[in-house]
Amino acid sequence: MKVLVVDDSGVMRKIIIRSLNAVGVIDIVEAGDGQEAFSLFKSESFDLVLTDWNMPVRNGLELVTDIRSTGSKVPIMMVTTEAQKTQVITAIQAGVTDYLTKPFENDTLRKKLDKYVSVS
Amino acid sequence: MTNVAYECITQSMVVPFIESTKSVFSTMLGSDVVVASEDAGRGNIAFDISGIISFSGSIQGTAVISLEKEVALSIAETLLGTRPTKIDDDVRDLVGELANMIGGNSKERLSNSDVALGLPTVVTGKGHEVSFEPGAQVRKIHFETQWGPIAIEIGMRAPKS
Repeated sequence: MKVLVVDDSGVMRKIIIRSLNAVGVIDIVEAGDGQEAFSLFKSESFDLVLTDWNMPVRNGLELVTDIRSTGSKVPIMMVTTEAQKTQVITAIQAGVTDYLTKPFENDTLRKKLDKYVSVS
Repeated sequence: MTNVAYECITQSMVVPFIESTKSVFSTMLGSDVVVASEDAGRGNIAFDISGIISFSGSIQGTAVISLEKEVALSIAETLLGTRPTKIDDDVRDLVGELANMIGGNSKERLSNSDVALGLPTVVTGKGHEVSFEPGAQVRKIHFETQWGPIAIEIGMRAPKS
């Protein structure tokens, strides 16, 4: 299973990657913004994308729109501080398949990740 | 004459920041924090590193989380598994993310749907000062953590009409 982790915070990427490692995922590619992530997405094949929302250059919502515009059905989990209902709805309408608000407990993330690992 | 600045921060606006700080530390770090003191007025807190997040929309202002070096290093150690020897990129990044999470969580608790968060910025340096916009009303909240003191400053001003 190959996962693309997108967050402008290197620390947050490390925390997410630690959770991915804990559920057995080691094939991980990192990006610091939506533009870099979409470039990687176009050149490599991923089974899951985890992305922050608020990022410089190109944000997570724009990344989701970019990915869906290619016709890709890859699962995308938004991991963000944006927690208001209207934003969750906006993200889902854009094509997000799962949503996790920061701060989160590692167990919560791992349980969500387990779902994708078990079907891959 | 109404003092607009005085009305920028009410206790009902401060509580979400207190609860958000507690929530972020409890959830991400598995550690409880308690409010040591709270005071109003301007002034700067002299710590080693600060994360700053701005609010725009119906609430306009800035929230600042400030930490001493050793506290920041201890939090980094707790989150990353290894203790940095100095305030490096990881520690700066971490403090920015703390500001981001506290700001985002506070925004949700404030229940103002038209409030937007900026991207976090980080300032370092012993005794650095974070200044708020002219006209902002400032509230300081001092917390005790298991690693030492931290502080949250909130500076709010009336939305531009």
